[in-house]
Order: sequence, then structure tokens, then C-alpha cells
Amino acid sequence: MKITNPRLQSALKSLALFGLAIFLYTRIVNGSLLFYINERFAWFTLAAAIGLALVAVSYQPAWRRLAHRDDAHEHADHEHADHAHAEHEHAAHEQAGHDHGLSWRGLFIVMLPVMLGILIPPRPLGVSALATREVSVGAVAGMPAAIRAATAKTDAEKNILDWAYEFQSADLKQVVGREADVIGFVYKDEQFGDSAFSAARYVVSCCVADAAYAGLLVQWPAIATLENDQWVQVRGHFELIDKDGQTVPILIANSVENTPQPNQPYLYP
Amino acid sequence: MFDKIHSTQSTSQELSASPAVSPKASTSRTLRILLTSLVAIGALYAIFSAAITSPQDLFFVTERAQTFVTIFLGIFIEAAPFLLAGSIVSGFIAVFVDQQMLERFLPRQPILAALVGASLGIVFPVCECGVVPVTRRLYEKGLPLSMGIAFLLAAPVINPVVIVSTYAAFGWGTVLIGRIVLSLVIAFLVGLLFYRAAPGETLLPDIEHAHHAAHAHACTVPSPMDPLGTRFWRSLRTAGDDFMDMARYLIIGSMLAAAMQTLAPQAILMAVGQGPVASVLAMQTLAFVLSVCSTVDAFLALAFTHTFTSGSILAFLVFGPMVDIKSALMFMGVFQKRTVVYLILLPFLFTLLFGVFWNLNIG
Repeated sequence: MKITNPRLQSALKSLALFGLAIFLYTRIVNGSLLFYINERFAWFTLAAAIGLALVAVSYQPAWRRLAHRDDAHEHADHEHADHAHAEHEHAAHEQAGHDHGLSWRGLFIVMLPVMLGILIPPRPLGVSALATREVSVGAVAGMPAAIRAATAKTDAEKNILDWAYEFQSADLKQVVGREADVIGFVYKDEQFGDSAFSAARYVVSCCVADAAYAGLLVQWPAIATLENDQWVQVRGHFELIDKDGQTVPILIANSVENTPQPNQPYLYP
Repeated sequence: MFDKIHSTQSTSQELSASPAVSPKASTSRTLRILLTSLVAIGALYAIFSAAITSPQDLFFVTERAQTFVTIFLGIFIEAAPFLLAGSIVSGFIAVFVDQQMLERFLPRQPILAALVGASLGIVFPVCECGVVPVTRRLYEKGLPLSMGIAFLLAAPVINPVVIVSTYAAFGWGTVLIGRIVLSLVIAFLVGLLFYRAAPGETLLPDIEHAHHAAHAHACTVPSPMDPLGTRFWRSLRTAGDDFMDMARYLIIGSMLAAAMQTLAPQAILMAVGQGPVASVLAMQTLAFVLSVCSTVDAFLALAFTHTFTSGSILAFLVFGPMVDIKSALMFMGVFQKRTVVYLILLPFLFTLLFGVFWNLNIG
């Protein structure tokens, strides 16, 4: 159903754009933006919030001017020479059938992100998203090692992704005995056996659409007390084990402690 | 090849022309019904795909719904700034560029037109979301059909940002050069194929009308010498109209892409995609489904270099920016449905061809 009143049209478009701007802005302020995109792109989101607000404000003069006209205006032929040019242009568009008219359905669709974002509490990707993703034990399959060339981090500072790179670039034997201290969410699966789980993170280069799994195999006898998606801090040292004919590093945990979800739930390549 | 397309187009046009329903109304209604049912099916399947037999199953279903929402919002939030940028460029073109200016500078000769279209991205550095409103606006200003299509397909790769990010990921080498050259060539070829297409059978009726009017120099609004401030705000208002219009397609496209990601296991693609042909098909499908921005897809492609053939990596980098779920949906805001199908199939086939050729002869 078309919205026929032009004043209402402009007002609703303006409100919708402003609503999107506020939605984006609040994602930045409450930190949930990092559940959706790589931190590197947060500037774009801020710019979009400002831009949308500016565009929303731009409807204001037309809106005010239209308020002085009766609603029959949109059916008027565009021979009124004294029309403001903006309206003339608009009328010409309408004449040409240019579908800039807003329908209630269109408005509903544009508001979907805001509604879903508010109704469904924001949460980063968890174990359930692994159902459709490639999970390879112990290492990240062909992660872009080139772009983070020499990370001069000490072992204690290394996160799950750093270790995955380490496994890939260095000789595996050389990680044996080294101490690690990492944070990840618990992913339990039959393929890890009954005394091991994966401490996992998602690696996000752009937005969650490209999220890839990175995980360390952790040996911890008391996995029954752990729940999927629970965030844990794992401390321990690496050993090598043979798994399905493949040598993979495993983190022998000294401690596995519950920890709050990090502000940046994803790792960036 | 094109004559065939042309003739099927005109017959179906005749068949669908019924006196009671105007073609515009019927097209937009079918489009809406199509989109709504696609989204509904996707959502229902996402929710009920796992048979709910126990509380635990219910838990997994709600988890999946949560994943769907997160991925959908991720794609939308990532793309929104670029769509807005494209809409603002479009708004300013609408107000500040007049048809005569465009006509004077653009070549009419078909080969040259398609070539210029393919390299226009250097001048308008827009990515795959921003390129759609800009192309639509340029069509309304009378841009030749073939040039616009070449621009639409090539611009997401032929722009400084994407070239730099590809360089950052792969360095100077065959991948970078292959990506640029293949994108140019395929966009050029597809653009050229559309040279003989009638705008009336390709563009949506409203855009075609403006396009036609621009050519006839009739009914065009003379560029008024209003104060700059007024024109500035008018540009922004037009940008707002464009954004509201295109955002619908972006949102539905993001939802479809998110549904695919929540449901389709990537492992199947990995398992299937090994041979010189299958690997290219697999990576093309992946590019279509993932709907990742062209500015970062190079980093993503790196993850596959060890497991996939080089031709298929190239196909991913060339086909993905041209067409994916969300951009295909956005094409529907510019072109008629049949044209959208060609705009998906032609780049798909060309990329497949070049990808397989690459695997057999170069990679």
C-alpha cells in the first residue's frame, strides 16, 4: 500500500533515516557493533550515522513547505511554473512513474534491522554458527599469514589466532613445552574425544559474514562441567598428539577458568 | 548469441502484455511477491529445518535464529555506509550533472562505450553496494546501457581501494593482475552484449522513461541556478530517496545471504570443489553466497589458497564483486527481472570459462 500523503511520506522517510542513524550510533556506544563487524570499520559506521542524520534533516524544508499545500498536490499537473524546483523535480519524477514513493511495506523492510536489533538481544556468533563452517582441529586452514608477517608478541601475549599462525609457519616440534594463556569460548564435540574441547574464537576480517573458526585443542579432564559457548581462560603448555594420522598440537591445561565475554569477541587477522 | 536473447525477450514481453494490468504494476507486484515469498521460505526453513522434538532441539533452533540475526545485521551494518555513500554521489549527480554534459563527454561508439564503462570505476570509486544507485542515476541521465552495465560489473574491482587491498593480500603478481584484467574483460564483454538491447526491455519502466527523456532532451528539468545551499540540500534529499529505495533490496539480500550462511554447510563445497572445473564452480558459489564486500574479499580468498586451485581463487575474486546475493537483489531496483538473470548468468559463465582456462593453462 502506497503512502499517498506527501507530507507523511517525507516525515516518515526522515524519521526512518533518523531511526537508522540512531540505531547505528547506539551500536557504537553500547559496544555491540563489535559483535557484527571488524573494529577497523567502526569509523564507517560512525560516518554513516552522521550521514544518515544529515540526510534525514534534509527532508525538513520540503516537509515544512509541503505542510502549506493540500494533499491533492501530488495529483496536480506540473505546469505550475511557480513550483519550487525541488517539487517540480519530484513531480516530474512522479509523472515519469519514478518509484521513489514509499509504501508501508517498504518502510517495514527498511526498519527490519532496527526492529530485529532491538527485539533480539545482540550476541556475538557462538558454537551454533560452527554447524555450517569448516572446523579443522589444531590449526587454521591456510590463514593469511602474509598480512600479519612478524608479530613480535611474547608467548604469554599470544591469542588463539597467533598460536594458529605459529603452528603454521614454524616447525611443530618447536611449540612443545611452550606456555600459553588464551581466552576463547568452549566448543565441545565428539571429534575432540571425551577429555578435550576446543577453545575457539571467530576471526573476522570484514563482518561476521566472513567469520572463520580458529581454535586450540585443549586437554582438560573435567570437560563435563563446561558448557558450549561459555567463555574461559585457559593456561597450560603444548604437547603434540597423533590425531587421525595427523600430528596436532594440544594445549595441556593447568587451569580452565570462567571469564566474562571479552569486549572484542572476535579476533582480527 | 545476443539475437537469441533479444527475440525471447520480445516474445515474453508480448505474452505478458495484458490490457488490464499495466506492465509496471505487474512487474513490481510480481517482484514483491517473489521477494516476500523467498524471505518467508528462507525464514521458515531456518526455523523449522531441524525437527523440534525435545527442549534441546528448540534450544538449537533459537541459537540458529540468533546466528541468522547476527549475520544479517553484520552484512547490513557493514554495507550501509557504502550504500549511503553511493546514494549521496547519486544525489549530487542528479542535481549537479546535466544530460548535455554527460552526452558531450561519453563515447557513442559501442566498443569504446563498453571500455570506458568498465574503467569508469577509477573516476567513481564505489564498491558493489554504492555502485548500484550511482548506475541507476547515470541511466536516468542518459548513460548508454552497455556502458552502465560494464561500469556496474567492473567498478567494484576497478577502484583504488580494492586494488590496494588485493595488493596487500596477494602482493604484486598473477592474482592481482589477473583480477584486474579479467574483471575489465568480463565487464567489457557483458556490456558489449547489451549494446543492442533496447533500454525499454532492460531497465525498469520508470528509469527507462527518464533515460528516454534525457535522450530526447524533452521534459528535462532545466538545471536551475539556485543558491548552492538549496541545491546541496536537494542533493541530500534525493540521496535519502535513493537510500530508502535501495536499502529495501540490500536488506532482503542480506537476509537471504544470512539464511544461506546459517543453513548451507561450507564443508560440502570444500569436499566437492577439487577438480579444475569443480573448484571454480565451488568458489563461485561461495562468493555468491557469502556476499562479502569487494574491499576485503582478497583477505578472505587468502584462506583458500592452499586448498583450492588458483583459477578458482581468481574466479572468487572476479565473480564475487560482480554478482552476489545482495547485489543481485539490488539489481532488481534498476533492471527488469530477465536482465537481472542475464547479469547473474553471463558473468558466471564468463568467469567459469576463464577460471577453468586458467587452471588448465596457467595455474
